[in-house]
Amino acid sequence: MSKKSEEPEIVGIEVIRKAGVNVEQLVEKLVKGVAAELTTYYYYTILRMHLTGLEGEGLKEIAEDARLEDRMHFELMTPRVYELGGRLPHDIREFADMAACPDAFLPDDWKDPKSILKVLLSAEQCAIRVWSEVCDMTIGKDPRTYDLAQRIVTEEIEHEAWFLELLHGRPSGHFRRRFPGEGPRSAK
Amino acid sequence: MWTSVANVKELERGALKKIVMGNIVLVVYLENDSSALAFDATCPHKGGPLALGEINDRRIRCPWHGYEFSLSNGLPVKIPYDQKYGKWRNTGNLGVYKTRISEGVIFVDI
Repeated sequence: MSKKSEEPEIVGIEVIRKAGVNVEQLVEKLVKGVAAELTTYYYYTILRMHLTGLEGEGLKEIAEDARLEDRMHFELMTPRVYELGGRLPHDIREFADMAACPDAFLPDDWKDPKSILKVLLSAEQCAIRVWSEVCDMTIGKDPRTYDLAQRIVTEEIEHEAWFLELLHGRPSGHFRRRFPGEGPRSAK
Repeated sequence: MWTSVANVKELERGALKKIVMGNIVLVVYLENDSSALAFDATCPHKGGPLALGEINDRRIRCPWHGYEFSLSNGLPVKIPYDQKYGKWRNTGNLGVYKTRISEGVIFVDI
């Protein structure tokens, strides 16, 4: 029996390829996207720890919601990578280096909570660009990936709005989550 | 191989147009009625969509991380992140293509 005949038929891939999706390119983008979510989760842990003092105390909870939801985004989209025949790099260093967004490093002037908020805002804005691009690549062609990506981008837009409100006083239109890391769109 | 990708009349001068030809995805930019630029649609850094970028002085700026590439030779000319970002900041070169315009049609050497 030839190797080719042993390979199973994967209708879930075949149909989206026929619809015009470049599956390899999509998988590469998804891996970079989930890498950004996981590295952001890691860096947000550090940022949240440094939201100190009276002002920082009130911001911790919001940073914590964004942190936990970014991890949920990683959890939500990673299975899709494997469904599409892709995989995560087996070395986490390689994974971190390919992330679609830059490291959300703790700023030197972290004692000013606004400097941390700027890092958080920048990370959310990067994530919006990445998942919007995935939505553009998949709309009308790959309903499953589109569904997951639009759930993620919806929450990232909410996160951006929170941080914009805190930094610039621009009303976000959102109230607090019901519990830390609720993930109203990304919870499984 | 010279391949026709667009008519000059279809393109707005100064606008970026994404062109899909099978697995090849290009961006075409009309400088004037006799000159066009063509390059890969995906940023070689982290895959940002260059059709949404900005061109200045024959450089394309990626909308994701602000990397800039020469459209003459594809080399990175601006990397906005310092050494602290380690290997993450590394990038390849951008694929750029020869172009010619003949009788109102843009051809790209693919």
